[in-house]
Amino acid sequence: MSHADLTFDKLRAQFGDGLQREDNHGHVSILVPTEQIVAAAKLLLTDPELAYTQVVDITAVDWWGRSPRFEVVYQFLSHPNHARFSLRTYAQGDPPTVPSLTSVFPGANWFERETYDMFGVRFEGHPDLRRILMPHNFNDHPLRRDFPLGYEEVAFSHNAHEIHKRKSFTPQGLALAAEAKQQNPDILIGAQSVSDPDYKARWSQPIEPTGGIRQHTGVALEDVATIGPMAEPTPSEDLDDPFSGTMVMNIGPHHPATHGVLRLVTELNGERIVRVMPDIGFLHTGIEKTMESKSYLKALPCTDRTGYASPLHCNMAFSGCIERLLGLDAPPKAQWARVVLLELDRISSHLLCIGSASLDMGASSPFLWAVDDREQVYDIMEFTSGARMMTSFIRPGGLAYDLPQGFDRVVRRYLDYLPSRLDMIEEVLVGNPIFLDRTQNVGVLTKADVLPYNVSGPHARASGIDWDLRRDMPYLIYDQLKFDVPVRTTGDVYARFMIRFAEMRESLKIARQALDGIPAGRWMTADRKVAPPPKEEIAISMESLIHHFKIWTEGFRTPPGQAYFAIESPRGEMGFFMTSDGSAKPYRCHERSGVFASLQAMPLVCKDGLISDLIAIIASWDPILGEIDR
Amino acid sequence: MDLGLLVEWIIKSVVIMGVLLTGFAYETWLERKVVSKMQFRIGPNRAGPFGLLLPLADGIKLIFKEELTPAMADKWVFRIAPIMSMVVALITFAVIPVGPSINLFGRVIPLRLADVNIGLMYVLAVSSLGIYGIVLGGWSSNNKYALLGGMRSAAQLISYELALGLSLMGVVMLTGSLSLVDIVNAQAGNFWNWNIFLQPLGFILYGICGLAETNRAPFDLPEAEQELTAGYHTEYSGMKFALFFMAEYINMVNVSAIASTMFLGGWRAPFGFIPEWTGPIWFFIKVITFLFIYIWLRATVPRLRYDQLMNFGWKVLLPLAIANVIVTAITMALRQVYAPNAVVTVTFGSLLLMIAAVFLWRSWTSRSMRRRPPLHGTSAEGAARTA
Repeated sequence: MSHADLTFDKLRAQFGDGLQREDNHGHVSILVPTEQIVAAAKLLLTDPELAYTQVVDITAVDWWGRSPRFEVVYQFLSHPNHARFSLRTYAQGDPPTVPSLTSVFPGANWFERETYDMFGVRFEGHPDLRRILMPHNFNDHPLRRDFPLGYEEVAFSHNAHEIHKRKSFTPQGLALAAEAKQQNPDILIGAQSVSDPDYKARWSQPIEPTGGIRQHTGVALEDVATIGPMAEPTPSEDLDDPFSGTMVMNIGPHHPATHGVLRLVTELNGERIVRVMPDIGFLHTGIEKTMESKSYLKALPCTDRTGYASPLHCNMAFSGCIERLLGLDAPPKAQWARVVLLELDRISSHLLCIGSASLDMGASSPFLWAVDDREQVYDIMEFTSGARMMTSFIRPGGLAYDLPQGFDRVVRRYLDYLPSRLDMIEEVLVGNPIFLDRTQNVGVLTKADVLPYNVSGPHARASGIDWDLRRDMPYLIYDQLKFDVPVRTTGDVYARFMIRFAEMRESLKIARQALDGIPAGRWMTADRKVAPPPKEEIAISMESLIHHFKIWTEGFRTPPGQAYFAIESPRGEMGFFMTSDGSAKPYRCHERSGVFASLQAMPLVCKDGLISDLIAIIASWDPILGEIDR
Repeated sequence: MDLGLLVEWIIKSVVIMGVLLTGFAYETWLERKVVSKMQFRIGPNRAGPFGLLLPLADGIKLIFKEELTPAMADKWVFRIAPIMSMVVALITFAVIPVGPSINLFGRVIPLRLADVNIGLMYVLAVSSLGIYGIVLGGWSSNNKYALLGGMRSAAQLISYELALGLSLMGVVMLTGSLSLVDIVNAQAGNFWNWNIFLQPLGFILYGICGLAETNRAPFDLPEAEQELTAGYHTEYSGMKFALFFMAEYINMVNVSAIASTMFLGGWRAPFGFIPEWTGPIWFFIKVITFLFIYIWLRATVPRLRYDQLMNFGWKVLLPLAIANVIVTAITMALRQVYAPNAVVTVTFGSLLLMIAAVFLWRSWTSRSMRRRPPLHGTSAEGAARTA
């Protein structure tokens, strides 16, 4: 009996036989009545045999036109049992509401906020249900199926009228729409009918200033609301402390150390940090919405753009999820080659992290050395796929092309070259007492905090969690390779650094083994419904031409169902959750990025540090905003 | 008053300012080149041969840039601050001798602007004033980052100025004069007469404190780019920013020049038989060596944290500087009583102190590794919450 069966039996014993089970190539999910979702999650967590220690992902699917409309999907991961399980439930009522899981899993916080932001599903009992990716004054929920896609034409004087007419949600468009409505009462404009009084009211209101941070006198964060239960604000009015006046400072979104556009609202006492509240979403591009409007193959390049520091991992998670939906395995050659490329990708990502972190701490040389080495990974990628960064090389069913001749030699040269460089960078950093002082015992994330706050990947391993998806829930051919999973116990910035150095060395080992093992054969699946036929066949075979035409215009279809597929990215568990309605486009496509989840835990470790510590902590967290904001 | 003397002063002042300002420009060029070599880059190579015209291009750019003043800034203080930094940086050089006296047009012209008998005191006093520019600039910008930068700067100055002054006192005691000319003359002869051999600890302390004084890495906290965006000069642009920038680099030259004068025999050649007129060349070489070390440090070392910086200043540097003064005093007293070989005694005492310094440094670093400020730490709290 598999662990999923056991879980199902236990849930049925508790909640009755009415539970529906759905299997999708090993991904088991159960539909739970809304009111029982918290109890079910609690059972999954607390039952010693089940021990689902993390809720790794929460998102929703909008079944527009059905009732109930919103299906909320939870992905659970059991570290002791190496198993995944999914719960589903329908959000009831208007506005659609489900109970919040934050009381059981504190790390559900940001996922629930995201779901609220994107779908308008309210989570009852959530301590801090605010928008997270969209601006505060945004008025709709963009991932709903009825939210219009596009309408981003630029209005010039010659076509403004036309464009406003299409943009029914702007004030000008609203006026035009009302005019049209008068002439023809049945007309529907845009996605929403203007007869919706609520809609009109929302847009006719003046946009209020975000009102987040008022003048900094005393406690000022309450408007932005609290950080949530995870970092309970220390009482700023400490009577014993004569210097209790604090200052609120915005670090970011434009700041040299925030690695993009992360905004940290910090409350400072002198230079000491009282509170930190990460504010994300400045790089939100609605990429999930974009993916949902494109066929699978055309959605693939979107994934590169999210995790731009490790684009191949995004490709892999996405392709893996589709392969799971299709019930398809990539051919062996593709699998082995993918491992080589993924490990190179991991090295490049870790080099970026370490380099930019040392720059953040004031050491400029290691940064340039690391970037120099990283550049060579890009060279390999360019040699292999033609693109340096956004390769889109790993595709559903295999690779985009065959590996080029000389791939082996080029990669091997890099693998021989890198170790001494790593030693050099490590020596300059770790051999320096100032660096040790800056990192050791700074930003300690305790082992007890890791799983509840949804931290994964190097961050978790630095805190003593011995967990690596490559070893513990192997995908591709990782189970055939020999490698170690470096673990450290201190959980400080230093540990997160050292983990990355160690992981790069392990990656070198893995890449070498995988390179040795690449078999001959196809690089793309032979399934003509998924893989485009080879070019030379098109000229001589009618079927091939038809397949080619169908795949590049319409795309391939996947059977209806849901799948979640996760890999070990350089920043923790990166997963894709996909719902297919049987068409050629993903009905729902959700990217679960490791650092989005683990960024929740950052306020926890920043407290009582200095600004310099905060900078070191951000750097060690390796936030890639493309992945966080998507 | 002798009109010729007046003309001489004016000419010398102009020369000093000219040399410092061009020197500053080529210092930035040198820094870029050296750092780029250390980082496997090419560095400036577009403007002129070897990028030699880049400082010029930089200057033109900065002069023509728009200068912004924040609406809520304290306008006058905001304007005065960079000027203050700059002026102070320029006038420090007045008392530093760069060579012997030479005969020109029938006049004996000493290669220095002034021989003040309290020259060293003047240097210390003036260089401390430079910090006002930074603090006021940070404060008047009405920007939180700038304010924090200014605050850091003030705290840093207070922590390091004491050790800086004390580290030079050993030399003053040995020479018996505050005049920089006298100090250089006391080091005449061969290179083993230089004060660095009598005061090795003082030399090292001065080197470190000098770094802190000029806000250079690893003590560049006031302008820590990754923490405070640009620190005290966040809101400055155009030529006002350039003045701060110049002041920093000219201060580097000043600190290097003073270190050379105090510890490395100033313009004196390493061997007595080398003719004296080569003095300025030796002085230049010594200053460049110091600058190179500063640049080297910047390319290598991460930045200290604020509290570590203060700890280091107050708990390591200051005690060592005091101890250096005391040991110097004792050995000088012993010399008067027993008249042993003074050089040996002082060197011995200083070497002992150097060993002490190494131990202190090690214990300080290991202690600060183990200990974090004992505040309401997150680790204990986290453990309690999940326990």
